[in-house]
Amino acid sequence: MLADFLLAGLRALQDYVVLHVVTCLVPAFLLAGGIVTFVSKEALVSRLGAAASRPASFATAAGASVFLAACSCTVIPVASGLYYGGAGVGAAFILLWVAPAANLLSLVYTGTVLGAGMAWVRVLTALAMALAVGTVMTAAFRREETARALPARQGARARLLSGTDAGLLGLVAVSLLAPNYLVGQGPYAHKVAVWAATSALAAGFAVWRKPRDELARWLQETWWFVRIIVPLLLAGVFIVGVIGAALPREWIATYLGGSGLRPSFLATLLGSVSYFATMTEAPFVHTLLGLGMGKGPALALLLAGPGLSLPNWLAIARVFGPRKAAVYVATIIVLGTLGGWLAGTFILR
Amino acid sequence: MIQVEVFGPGCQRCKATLEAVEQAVAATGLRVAVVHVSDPVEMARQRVLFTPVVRVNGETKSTGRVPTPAEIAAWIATAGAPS
Repeated sequence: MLADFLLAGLRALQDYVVLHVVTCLVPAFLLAGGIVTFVSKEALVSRLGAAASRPASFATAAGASVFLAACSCTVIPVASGLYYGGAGVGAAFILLWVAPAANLLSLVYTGTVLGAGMAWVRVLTALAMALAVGTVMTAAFRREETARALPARQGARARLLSGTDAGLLGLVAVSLLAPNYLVGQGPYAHKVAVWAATSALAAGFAVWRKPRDELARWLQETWWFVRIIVPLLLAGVFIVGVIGAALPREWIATYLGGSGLRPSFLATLLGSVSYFATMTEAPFVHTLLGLGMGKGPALALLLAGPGLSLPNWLAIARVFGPRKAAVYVATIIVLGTLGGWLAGTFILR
Repeated sequence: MIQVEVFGPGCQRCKATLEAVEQAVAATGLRVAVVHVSDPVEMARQRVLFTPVVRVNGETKSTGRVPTPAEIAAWIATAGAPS
């Protein structure tokens, strides 16, 4: 019995981590490290803080968060700092939601594990929910928002990213996407070959155009992502394998099967209470899908899993106050349920 | 006395930064007060966004990355030098 569970855990590790290391994880970490190193944070913040109109600030917040490969712990100071620095409550909560729920790292990994379709639906649903969250938060705290004198900071706009850096990040993105989407179903060796060719191109460009010290910082940042995320991913995936072997099939089919409102609600609730390290939600959902979970609830869990957790609620309540935290969590649970149900009924059939 | 502040909510990188600061302080042998700020409310008040942040005598030296002990030691030495 116990040996079976251990074996299931090890098999999950082989399926979800070992096979994806070279063609998915390595380029994804390099891309995340590159974004941290080369994208100017000051420029990003000045755009968010100073966005004159509400739609503009919503769009910037959502767009920026996709590229903020950050777990829920790092994003709280960013969101609260922006809020107290003058950004609207809507934009701050959009950042809080999108950065963990739909950042680039987890989207890419979702695509590799669950297919490109699921990754697209995930990002589109997350952005639609972000828009709704921003609107609800702004409407609910309207009076407070008008009372808060928003300092209109107008200064020189710093550049987000230099042309060379954009080219480099583009090449890394190609080395990440080409093996997984160009080769598709072929044998693994083909993927590795495509990865090697595109990576050599990116590496050549980097050595040619970038100074040594910046390259060193890039690799250092990448190494940080590896050191933080890989242990969590390994532990998480192992647990996923064990849970998959231990859970009775009937339970999953009864509570999370189909695409109705109730299974979506249960999946959202499960996801918003428990803590999922970035990326572990994809193998977890994949395992549950194999055991009979519906696609709608799967999407709901993919979104709420990394996006919310009990420790996260408490931290948000401390920083933004319990009322805003309550409105935010309730909104996410309602929207996640609706999103899972709608996507499961109309898109992911 | 030199004051070094480290802002970080308790993530891995913040712990590493704190360790690097302690190593640097030991290496310089100067009298340094190290302050660790982990409260997000305090960070918001002080306009700290991308953690970890290292400040020496109130001046921000690095944001959003883990500096090396050698870098930090140089900042501390400069701050401690009689001007």
